Amino acid sequence: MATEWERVVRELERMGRLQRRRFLRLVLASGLSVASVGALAACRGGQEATPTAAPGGAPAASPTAGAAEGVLQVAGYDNPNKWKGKTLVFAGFGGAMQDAQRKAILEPFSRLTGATIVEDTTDIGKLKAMVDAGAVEWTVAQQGTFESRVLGRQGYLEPIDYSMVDKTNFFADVAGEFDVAVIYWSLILAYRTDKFGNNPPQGWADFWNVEKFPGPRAMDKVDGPVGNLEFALMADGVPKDQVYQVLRTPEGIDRAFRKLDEIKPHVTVWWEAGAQPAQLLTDGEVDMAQAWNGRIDAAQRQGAPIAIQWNEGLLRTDSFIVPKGVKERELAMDFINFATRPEVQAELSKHIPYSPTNAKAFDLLPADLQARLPSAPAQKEKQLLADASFWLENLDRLTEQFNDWLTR
Amino acid sequence: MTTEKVLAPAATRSSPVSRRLGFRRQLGYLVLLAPALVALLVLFVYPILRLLFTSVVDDGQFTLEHYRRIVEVDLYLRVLRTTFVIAVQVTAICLVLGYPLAYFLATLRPRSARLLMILVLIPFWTSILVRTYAWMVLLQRQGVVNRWLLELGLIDEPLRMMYNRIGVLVGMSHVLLPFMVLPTYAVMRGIDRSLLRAAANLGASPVQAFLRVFLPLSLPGVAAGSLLVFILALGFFITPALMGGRTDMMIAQLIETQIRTELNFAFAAALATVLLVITLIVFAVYNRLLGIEKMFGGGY
Repeated sequence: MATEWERVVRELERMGRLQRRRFLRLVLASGLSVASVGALAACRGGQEATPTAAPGGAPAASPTAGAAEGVLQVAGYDNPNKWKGKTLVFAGFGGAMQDAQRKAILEPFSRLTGATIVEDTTDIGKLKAMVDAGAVEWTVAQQGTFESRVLGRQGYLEPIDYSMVDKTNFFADVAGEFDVAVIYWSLILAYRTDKFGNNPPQGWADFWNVEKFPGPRAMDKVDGPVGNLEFALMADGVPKDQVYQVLRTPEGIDRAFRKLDEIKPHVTVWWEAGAQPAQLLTDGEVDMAQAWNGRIDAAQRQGAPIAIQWNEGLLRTDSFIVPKGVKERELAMDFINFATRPEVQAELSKHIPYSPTNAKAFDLLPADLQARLPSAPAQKEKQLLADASFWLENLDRLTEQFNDWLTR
Repeated sequence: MTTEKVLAPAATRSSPVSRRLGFRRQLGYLVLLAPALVALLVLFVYPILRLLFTSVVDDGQFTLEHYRRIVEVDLYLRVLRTTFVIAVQVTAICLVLGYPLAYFLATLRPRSARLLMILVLIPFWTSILVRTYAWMVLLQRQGVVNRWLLELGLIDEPLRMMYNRIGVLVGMSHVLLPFMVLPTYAVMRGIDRSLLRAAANLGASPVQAFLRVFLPLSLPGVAAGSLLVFILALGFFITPALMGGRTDMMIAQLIETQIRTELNFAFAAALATVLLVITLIVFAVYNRLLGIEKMFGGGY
């Protein structure tokens, strides 16, 4: 998820500052001294979040609510007293993402069902702490789908009740046991049009081909092995529908790392923040990069000479989850159902270029917008869908192997 | 030490009344200290104990599995080594840059020194992320510094000053320099200048006077500053992540990955504990060699 890293960095940054100050005081006051990182793991759970009460119960978008033109209507949601008196606490990633969600999901849900909405910022440590303490504050939270499935397996989530969440038109692998994927985003190949405008790279084989496509490159290290292994295999000629089959064998893993060895000397930047590849391409620091589609989209609209190659991109998802022991389970399920209706998902994509998980949403989106969305039919068929079950089993081991490879 | 020796015989000789007074005074100190002690216990000691606990208990069972993994997998010890090497390098750079700066500030009239000190402190109040991005603009291949050097004809090829160790050291030294300057400056301010005049009076050249009088007296400040910079550098995360190359990974980055994507809090806790223990060992050695109480102005 594109904004997650920024949020994490911001939080760590803020925490770092707090700790530094506390640390100084400690050292000076008592002669005690312990590395501040030691407390990192322990402190992460204790982040304070600032719940910002959304416009909530009062219909905010328009005082003349109802069937007025331009006001979102959602089939099946026509009882403005359905959840009256109930409060839904939504924990999202913050930033531009949550701003878009507020307009497309939270405010309409409040208006159409009468629920009061309170917003918070999602945090795995906090979620675990709430469940462990039996004091669940959030009704619905957002997380990456991989993380959601790990949490589900660790017993921190309520199972999704598909009698309340209509999954009829969901794409494949959207309806998880403990999570529902709500948006697609993509890790794609982005390149400078002034460098490769006439003969753009067609996929990862071209990214690896430094003779035909000379120039510095940036690759993604924040996602670790996720993406890099798939791309290496595709660069090595594995058809995209066989990538995970090959990766499930030890020889396949070796093959991927051997292919990564080839590109290693030509990578000038291993990026850590989602904003970096767009900036590196815009400034001409690199000519080709792996990047998150949302960031490239934003740079393009600011006029940067950058293009996206959708071929062999890696489609990934973020999910909505419900913490185990939640008080308003039915409200949570109804909210997730609402957030995955075609009308609502189409509305969200109008605010931010993340893409619907309900196929029917594309019936409601104009062609020019569809061309920018990773899960629109034309883009979707060119890409590879990240295999959550593969990564759920192998993420830990392969992250270690990848970091080992990277730092050698 | 000395105060105790002086007071101890006095106490044994004292009457019950004055002993009671002494007890009441001690109680007073305790009451004054209580808020800090409680805060330390709740906010510092308890989380660290929890951290230790998390790292050795899995599903209610005691295990050293996570520590075994740290020792057996090459990656973790290698990254720990990188972490310590970077911390030493940053400390050295801060010392070389910070000592003359503190010396200069200490020679100024207090008013001007205060003014310049604000300049030293300004980076303190700027977010690390903002400062890191500012360095990117300056140091990258097409950055300001490279463009100037190219235009001046001093170089033919852009220098690589980012996404490698140089970037990490520049970024981290910038952030940590005030931690070196502040304690060093504080100690230097306290040095009696008439000692230097006395040295000159006794025939010492300015260099001799500096080396044999001023430098030894300023060492407690240097020691305190170095320790602060070193220990803070060990926990750095954002700067090496954004300005470093692929081999400049520091241990905090691995801890962060364990928490953010693997959700393996136990292993993250084990990594943090290892860092903590090694830091304490460094601290103990440092204490043995230099004496911690000296650094904070005691011991004279």
